[in-house]
Amino acid sequence: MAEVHGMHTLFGMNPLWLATGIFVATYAIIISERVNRAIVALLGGGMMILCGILTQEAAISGIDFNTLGLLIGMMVIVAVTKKSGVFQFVAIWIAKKVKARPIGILLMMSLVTAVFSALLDNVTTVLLLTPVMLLIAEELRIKSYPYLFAIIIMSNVGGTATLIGDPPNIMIGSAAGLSFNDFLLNLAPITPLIGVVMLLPIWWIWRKDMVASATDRARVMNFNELEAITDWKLLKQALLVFSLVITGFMLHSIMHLQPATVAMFGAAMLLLLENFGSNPDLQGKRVHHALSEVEWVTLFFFIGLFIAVHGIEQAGLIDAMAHGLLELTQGDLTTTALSILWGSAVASAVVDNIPFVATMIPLIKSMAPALGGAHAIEPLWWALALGACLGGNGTLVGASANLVVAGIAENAGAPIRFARFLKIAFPLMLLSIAIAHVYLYLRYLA
Amino acid sequence: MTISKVINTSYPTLKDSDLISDATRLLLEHKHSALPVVDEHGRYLGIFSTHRMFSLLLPRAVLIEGGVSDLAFVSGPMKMLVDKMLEHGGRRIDEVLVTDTPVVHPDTPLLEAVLLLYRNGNDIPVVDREDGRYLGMIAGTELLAHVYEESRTHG
Repeated sequence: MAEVHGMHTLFGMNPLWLATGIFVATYAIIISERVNRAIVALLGGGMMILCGILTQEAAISGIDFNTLGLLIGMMVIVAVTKKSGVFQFVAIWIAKKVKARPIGILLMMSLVTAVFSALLDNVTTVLLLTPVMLLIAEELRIKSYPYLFAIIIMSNVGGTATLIGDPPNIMIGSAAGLSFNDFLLNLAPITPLIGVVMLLPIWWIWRKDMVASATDRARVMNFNELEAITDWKLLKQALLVFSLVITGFMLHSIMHLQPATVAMFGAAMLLLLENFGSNPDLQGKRVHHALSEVEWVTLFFFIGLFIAVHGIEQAGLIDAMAHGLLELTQGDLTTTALSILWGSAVASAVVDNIPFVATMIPLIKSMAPALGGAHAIEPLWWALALGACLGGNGTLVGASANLVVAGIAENAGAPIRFARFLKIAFPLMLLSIAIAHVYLYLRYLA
Repeated sequence: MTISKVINTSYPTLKDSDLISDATRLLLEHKHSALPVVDEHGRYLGIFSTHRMFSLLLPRAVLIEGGVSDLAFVSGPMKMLVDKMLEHGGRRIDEVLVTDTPVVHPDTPLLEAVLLLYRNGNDIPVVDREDGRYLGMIAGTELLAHVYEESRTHG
């Protein structure tokens, strides 16, 4: 992999040390959170080119456009769909289904969060569900904290289940050539169990707070969920496109299509349906709105990271790290997989899991020959996915969705504090990793 | 042309220790959309308004950024509103004071006041530039009436 010979680095410095320096500095500044992470990643990626580690062509070849396309496509689909009011509808509908009983709401809200997070990205899911949950808690005069806590935990558990559920999975699937169905068959089976095990302590700890009077419950029962749907036509169009996209994901490996193609095509189709026959002015406004809802900051963060990671890959650092890790685990697949699981979990709880996974992907790839080839190392990808996604539950900064919920809660006057969250969430996260450990061991390694 | 001609000094003022229920009654008796709150030295502290009152009556989940975007699905909300009114009635004004609305000074140009009224919606307090003393209010209706009268005489 390392093409050190062709490099013309700045002042003729050793490319390995130079690239490592840039990479470590980039990582450190991202962790410090002193500068917006997208700026840091773009500067880090840029430095790799300016210092001669990468040419611009090489840098661009390091960007995983499949990951970016899949994210953008799904973001556009959600941006259009949410205008229909369907997410409010579902939240109110389930609250009424359980007769507005607080414990029932905990259960159903957890289920809905997990399912939505599996099919959409976690940040979007919690952005849509948290405000409605706050409203319901306010009307029931119950503490919103346990519910927001459950939304955070379940969004990360649900996101673990599918290829499109969480950015680490998108990156892993894209880089390792694992399909939507591969994720469904290998990760989805274990997530319901993890979800249930996470819910029990949440219920136990806060069960005394989960009581609402009949009058307060009657207020929620008076909600008319059908009124929450603001645009039936758009809802139907969105459901049609969404089911086609999910079908497309399930068939993508058979049809030899990349997930990004499916998602982007779905986004374009939904925009077409929404705008067909409208006047050009309105079309322009709607398309502008849908595309501006794409989280460009996150995407540019990805772009910068991909380049920076490609830089250390080209300079030979990834190979050296892979070699080191293999020496530690003595080339044993079981030890390697379980180390990756626990290591990713703790790392993802402390730092953003996106840069961590971006670094781990080439590292795992370069360990493949020593461990018996691409097929043999598949358990390592599942270990990385489980560790990185579930690890996000460990702290309030472990995943973007956690911070989004905390931000909304803070605005609503019910703040979620770092230490208070950590005290319950970190042990829960370790528990979920222990379950994943047993699952990985029994299914792939025993 | 400044705002000095359209300053209204007849608005009742509120004290920071007044209760929300009393302030609301005063607001309604005088049929204003906003009343100024002043301290014991007559210095301007902030505004209490119908707009602020509505924000107290609404669930917090709709007021926050990115919150619930409409409430069409909530039926029969009168009891909810009454409950909220009673719940907040006993709180002091200084707990809910709005301090970030614009203020004008006696020498503020008239056009600037029109712009602020357009942006703010509510009546705007006039405050002494030097010592922050409350001097009066600019009422949207009165300013509009002033311009209307001018247009009749000059038009």
